[in-house]
Amino acid sequence: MLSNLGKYLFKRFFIRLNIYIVLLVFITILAVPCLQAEKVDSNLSGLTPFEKAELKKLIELDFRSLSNLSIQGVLGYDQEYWANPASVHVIRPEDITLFGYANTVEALRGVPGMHVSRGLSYDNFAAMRNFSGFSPQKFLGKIGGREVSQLMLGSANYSVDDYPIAVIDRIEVVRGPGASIWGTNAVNGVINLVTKHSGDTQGDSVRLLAQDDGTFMGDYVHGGQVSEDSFYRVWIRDQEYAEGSLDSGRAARDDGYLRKIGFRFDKELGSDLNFYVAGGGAIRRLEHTLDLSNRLLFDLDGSTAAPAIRLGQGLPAGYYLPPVPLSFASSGLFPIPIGEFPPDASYSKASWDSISNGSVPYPNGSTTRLERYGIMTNDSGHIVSKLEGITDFDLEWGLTTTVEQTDINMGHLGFEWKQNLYDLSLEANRPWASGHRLSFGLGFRRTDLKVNSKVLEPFAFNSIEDLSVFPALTFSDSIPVLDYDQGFRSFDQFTAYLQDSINLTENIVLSLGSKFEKNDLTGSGIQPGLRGSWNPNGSNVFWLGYSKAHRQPSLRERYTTLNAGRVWSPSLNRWVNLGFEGDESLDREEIDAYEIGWRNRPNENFLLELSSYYYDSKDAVLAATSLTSVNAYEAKDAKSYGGELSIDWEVSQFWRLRGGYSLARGEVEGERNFDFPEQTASLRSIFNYSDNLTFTQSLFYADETQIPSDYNPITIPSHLRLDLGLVWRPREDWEIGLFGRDLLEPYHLETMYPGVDVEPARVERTFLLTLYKKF
Amino acid sequence: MSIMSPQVFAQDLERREARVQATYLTHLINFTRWRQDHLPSKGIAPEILVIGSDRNGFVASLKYLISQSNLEIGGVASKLTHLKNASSGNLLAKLKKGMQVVFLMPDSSLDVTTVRELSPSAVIFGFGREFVTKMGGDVSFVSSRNRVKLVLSVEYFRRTSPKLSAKIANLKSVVEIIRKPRKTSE
Repeated sequence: MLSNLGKYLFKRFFIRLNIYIVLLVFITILAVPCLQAEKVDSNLSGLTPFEKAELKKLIELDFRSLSNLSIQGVLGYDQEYWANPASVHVIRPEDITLFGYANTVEALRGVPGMHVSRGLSYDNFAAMRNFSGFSPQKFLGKIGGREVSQLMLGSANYSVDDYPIAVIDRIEVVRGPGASIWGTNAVNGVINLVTKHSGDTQGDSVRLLAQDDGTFMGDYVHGGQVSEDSFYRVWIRDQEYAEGSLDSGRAARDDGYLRKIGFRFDKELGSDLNFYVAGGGAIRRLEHTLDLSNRLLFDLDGSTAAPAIRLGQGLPAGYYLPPVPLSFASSGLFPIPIGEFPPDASYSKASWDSISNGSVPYPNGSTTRLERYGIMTNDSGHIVSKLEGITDFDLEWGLTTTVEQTDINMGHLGFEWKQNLYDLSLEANRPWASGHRLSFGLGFRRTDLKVNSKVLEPFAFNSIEDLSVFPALTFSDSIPVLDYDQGFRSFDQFTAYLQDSINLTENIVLSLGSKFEKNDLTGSGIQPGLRGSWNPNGSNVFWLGYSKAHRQPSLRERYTTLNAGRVWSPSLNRWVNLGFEGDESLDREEIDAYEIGWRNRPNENFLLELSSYYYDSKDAVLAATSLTSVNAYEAKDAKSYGGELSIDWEVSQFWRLRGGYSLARGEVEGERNFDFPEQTASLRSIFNYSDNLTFTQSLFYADETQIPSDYNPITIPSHLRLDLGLVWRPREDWEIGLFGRDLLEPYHLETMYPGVDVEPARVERTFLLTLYKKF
Repeated sequence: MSIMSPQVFAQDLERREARVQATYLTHLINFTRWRQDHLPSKGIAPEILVIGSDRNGFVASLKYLISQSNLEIGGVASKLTHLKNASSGNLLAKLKKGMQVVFLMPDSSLDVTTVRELSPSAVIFGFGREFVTKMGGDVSFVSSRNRVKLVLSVEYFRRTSPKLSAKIANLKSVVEIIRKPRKTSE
């Protein structure tokens, strides 16, 4: 039996997945000499390379941070602990300012295994280790202590949920599921943006960023002291977006703005008893487009010309002919009698003509390009408060409450939802025996929604709502593009977790635990996790992990009907709505995630990390790919696997290099998927020419990706991006930076939203000037 | 159930504590000012003296931090000396020369009073709250509730040299400041 199990595991990990072979060989070649390296005598006076590297980080901490530093960490929380059995990448504020990034999400480009791509309207899509290019919904975003993923779309907008650099302490990126603590939706990983205590942001800070295309960003932070033990800060930010260009050279019509305000108040209530309350509000206005080129269709199969069309195309008799755009059908390519086309008055032809804008590629030709623009508004506000302390029994605890209101109006789709969210959570940990640290928590969340749909003007004509209920047909001229089932407007979620971090021996650390969850979307579930690390000497850590992670379907996937278009039926002589229902039966995705990794630090100036993963997903929710599908989404089994390599090398006191390489492959029911770049790589250099002058350089590479579409699939070519920067510090607290982006080519493409955008936007070469006055 | 030897586990934590303590000490030196007559003559490096045995890598951590941060006292690069209690004559002679920082390990053969008499120019560091509240030390490290905290004597802020910056006094929520050390009954 053991033999069979061994064969099964061998097949599963090292034969079927050839990437594992490569990584295993690589690990072996590199690990053997390292394991044979002289063991550092850490019992006496010597320091291991990991300890020296930790000291270099400690010396950067101020008194407050040192006094809050845990001596015994909790695996999964203490992200920078070298024995942590997970792939962790930490971004510091200087990683953002030294490279001239406006938003924190841009800094995620340097994280191995992450793919950040910019779409239309300045939306940055951050994806991680995924078989789906649109995977923001597959990792958990925590920003400033609150979960920012929206139930409706199951994703977060990292361009909106952002903070001024001056208040950011760090961004922790955990690749891989941390199900036992982080729980549902932490499928591919966690992004945790941690803000500073307001006592650490005293005084004034300003950051201004101006781009040569007219984009501007400015923020101002002011911090003060109320009393001996209470501090506050307030901040404002304005970001003005210049209009970009589409791939074809047309104007993208995506100029707009984002305005934000925020505050935080901290008070020490007693010895090791702290309280803070923080809040913020945002208003964003940007134009978005909706591609209607393939939304006004003609039913070729129902035409009297169908037999002739099949004959002309060399198709067998009875072969189903899918609907094609009306303009394509009426272009003269097919022998369709004039009388079979819809009368102009039946579909407000004048409205459709008014939004025609040239042509767009269509299989074996082209069709009329039809697009509708509308303002997308994103208004939100939130308040988070946290009370935390440590008892005499070493019980560390934190009680967090969050109230949040979001109002998102997708004017281009005629779909708006208002979400009120109330969240209460308790997290705690304490030692309970020598070598153990137990962490546990409870949480409750209520989400209330109000959803409205509007009928878009070109679609305000009479159609058969649902042909499948023939002969009891109903007709309507008020069918919205997205129609939400109003029976589902309130959702509760209860969570609990328990995890033990165990020092098994001097060199082996283990974490074992599970999260328990009950929610109105997918019922009850248990998400266990097991992670362990082995530190054979002072220079190497090997780790592995298994997690069963869940992802709950978004409300869009379960309860929203997509009325994708209207089909003119020549046989019925009527318009028929083309609707794809949400699927209420979609259950949670269940992912078995296996990871292994190696962290090598031969000396305090060099760190190499290698990690590999294999995810086996059951019931992964993916967009339906066929016009004949009943539902907009369907559940399929999927696999993804790959590995990441990263280095962090302080070549000298003046020069630091950080690099990363990622190989990621995905399969859906055995078919390779190419909507996530198979290979990505980055190399960043920080060279301090003198005490006050720094040169920075970044190279990013992403493989080709394919954006699926029901009529016009787009290939995003591979691209290599070079950024250069020069940062001058005339005074200790001032930075002036000049940056050039995408210097190798005038522009490249990164992504687009299939079914909504007609074509991708150009990510153009730009030059930026930044001015930063630190605290 | 405890799988790991408590001693081994404790040592791991104590090593981390020692690294945090060494970092605190480095920061505090940066915020301390010495009068000119409390500094050594030109050409002689100001000195940090650790007295007693070290089993947790504190001295190595401090040495590493001093080299990494080019720690200066009075604008001159500092020097670290570690003396275990063996040669008390050597130790007393060294103290008489005038140290800038003296760190007393738990098994130090000398007490605060002796060090203060021999080396009035020194900031005296030690362990445990009582090191400041009862023994008259300037700074001590207290480990409790999974954290390392600082206990400071108010004299460290008030005297003219060596004097700690008032900026640290504003961090009262982070450090404990002992207003007046109590006399021990002995």
